[in-house]
Amino acid sequence: MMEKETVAGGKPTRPKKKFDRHRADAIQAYSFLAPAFLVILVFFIAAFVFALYMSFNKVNMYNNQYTFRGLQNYAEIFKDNIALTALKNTSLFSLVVVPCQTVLALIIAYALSSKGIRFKKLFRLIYFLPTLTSSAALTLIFMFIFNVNGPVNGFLTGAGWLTKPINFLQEPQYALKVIMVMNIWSTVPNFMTVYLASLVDLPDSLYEAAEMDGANAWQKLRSITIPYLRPITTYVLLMGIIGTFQMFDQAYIFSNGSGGPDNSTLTVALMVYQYAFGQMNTMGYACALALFLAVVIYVVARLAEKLNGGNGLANN
Amino acid sequence: MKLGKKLMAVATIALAGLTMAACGGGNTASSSGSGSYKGQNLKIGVWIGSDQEKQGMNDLIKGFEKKTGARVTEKVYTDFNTQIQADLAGHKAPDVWYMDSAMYPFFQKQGVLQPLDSKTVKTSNFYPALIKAFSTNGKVYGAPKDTSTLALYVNNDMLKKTNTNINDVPKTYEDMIKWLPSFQAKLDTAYGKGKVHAMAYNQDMARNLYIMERNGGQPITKSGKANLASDQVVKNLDLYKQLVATGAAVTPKEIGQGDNGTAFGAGKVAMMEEGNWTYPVQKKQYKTNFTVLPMLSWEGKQGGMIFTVGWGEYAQSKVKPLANEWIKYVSSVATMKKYIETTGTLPSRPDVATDAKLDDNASLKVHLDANKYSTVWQAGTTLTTINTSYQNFVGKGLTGKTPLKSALESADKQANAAIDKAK
Repeated sequence: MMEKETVAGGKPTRPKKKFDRHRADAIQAYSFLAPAFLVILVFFIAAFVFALYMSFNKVNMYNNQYTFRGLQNYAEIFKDNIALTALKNTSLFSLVVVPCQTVLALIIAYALSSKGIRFKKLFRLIYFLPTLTSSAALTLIFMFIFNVNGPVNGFLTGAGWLTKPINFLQEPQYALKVIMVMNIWSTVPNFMTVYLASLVDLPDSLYEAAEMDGANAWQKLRSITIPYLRPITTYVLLMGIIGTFQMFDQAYIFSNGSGGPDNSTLTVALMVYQYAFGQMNTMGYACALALFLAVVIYVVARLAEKLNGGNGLANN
Repeated sequence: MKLGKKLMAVATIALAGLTMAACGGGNTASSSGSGSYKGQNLKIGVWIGSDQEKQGMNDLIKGFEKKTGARVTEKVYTDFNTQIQADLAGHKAPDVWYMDSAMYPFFQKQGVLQPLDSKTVKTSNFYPALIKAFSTNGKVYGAPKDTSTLALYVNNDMLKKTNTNINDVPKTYEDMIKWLPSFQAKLDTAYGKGKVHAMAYNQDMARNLYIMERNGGQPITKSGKANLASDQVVKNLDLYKQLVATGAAVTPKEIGQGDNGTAFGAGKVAMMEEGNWTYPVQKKQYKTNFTVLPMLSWEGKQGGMIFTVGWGEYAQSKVKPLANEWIKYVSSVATMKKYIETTGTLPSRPDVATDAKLDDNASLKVHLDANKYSTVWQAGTTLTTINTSYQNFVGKGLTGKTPLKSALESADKQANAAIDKAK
């Protein structure tokens, strides 16, 4: 078929063959992509479109009743003080956790990649362990560590820094902070590995040249390592922002799903869950909240990317 | 390929049949009894809380398959209330499923439950309070499977170590609040300060509802709105505030324990109010040495909670006669007796309780007797939402950081905002 057409077009033989090969390549490529695309189509695109549809409706999933209500679900988010509290908690969480985890991951990776450190592999293994722990188990362990009679309070009172133990789990001003510590602790190793993978490729000659010029460790980190890792930092920031804005499991376990004490651990994702799977037919509102969260994540992620100076590649 | 598989299956069955015929001779009973439901499949939706429950459920399934010749497919839910909703929305729910008394009004309202006729559920067989928990407008939508009640568990070893007689443990909340500080002091001397707390309590409507409803208290209005900050409810909840003020009562979470049973089993609390599900666990797993006492009375009246789970039938089930058969089977005296003896739960039928001689076990008798004075965990379709909000805010009211009333007002506001959104 194709051959005839191209011949009819009066084109020489060579480009024709090339064209055929292109086509065959494309077909092959698409057929390799097809399974993944199918999965994405069903589980991401279709789900997203359906969520979008539901967000404009009042939904009763049981008898398939959808009542169109326009933008009302979205308008309610801005009238809803609880949603704003949830957004505030989530933003604060992200604002504290993302910079901490990025900086810590970078420093640990830098330390572990530098020469002259012994037992590197052992350290890498130890540092990576938190990531392997399931976050549900982790939450319970942290709840034990931070309880009124737990090790943290024991240490603080024992050292004389506190006269009375702090009820970390039930005081609203501490509850979210405990989750922050937990989240930083468990995500740093993951990002550290990402940084380490890139640092392996960093040519030693750059450091050697800097040393000849008399640069110390801090100057080397600032002027060589950090700029070199900029594209990776963008990735780490994006992943961090997305992960923290979607934080759900730790808050859920911590507060038994209530977001308490006093809404202090209520995150947007937890609120979405409460509205989607409570005893109410509020799936529509839950979808609106979820999409609102997606927009917020997108905007914040773009901002962070800009602040970090693009994807880094253009600048190098 | 498919044909090959089918052929293989046929061949396997034929071979199995031959073997059985050859070995068994006249043994027909083992291959699917009456057979009127042969070839049908019943899907059941359950959750499993312990090895004993798993064993009990396996026995039920095997017995039913043998009796009817039908096949039973079991779907075990891990997060029941979320997953069943997804199944119902997808119109793929099991034919019969477990439903908690607190969730029943919600399911009923959604129209996903099949009313059960008097042949399937003979109401006079069950404890009236349990049947009432699964009835709406004179129709029964669920068959109570078992029941659990609360009782006061006391650790004997701790009493002994503090030279306290079991008879010294107060029988009313009024006395308990007066007695707790002295008992706590003894525990502190015996075990070291902060090591063992006298009593566990819970910030959960599932445990506090009967206190909230005392003297006409109405935590939820007739129209389903949160009404926690109403005068009588606030007055009632002050009981827990007094309990916390003794410094001897803690929530399991405060001391880093998952729940009452874990805290009690781990020896972190000397007393707890807990359901009979903890009884076999304390005995077998923790090997705690304990006594079970009736719930404390307050203002001259005893109270507690009843938790019951029933079998509901899916309104869109394609095998309703078989589903009815299942409900009849699991509710029969012999089956239920075997089930409760395996799982350590309490039966939903008084005749089974007599048959199983539960009265002979002093501890279980305390739990059985609690059926008489306790409140069923159920209050309309907004209960879960209100309870979530209650758990969110009640803490700061009970610890005295803010007045109880204002904490409960915040809870009301948040719950009602959510309830209004569903309108």
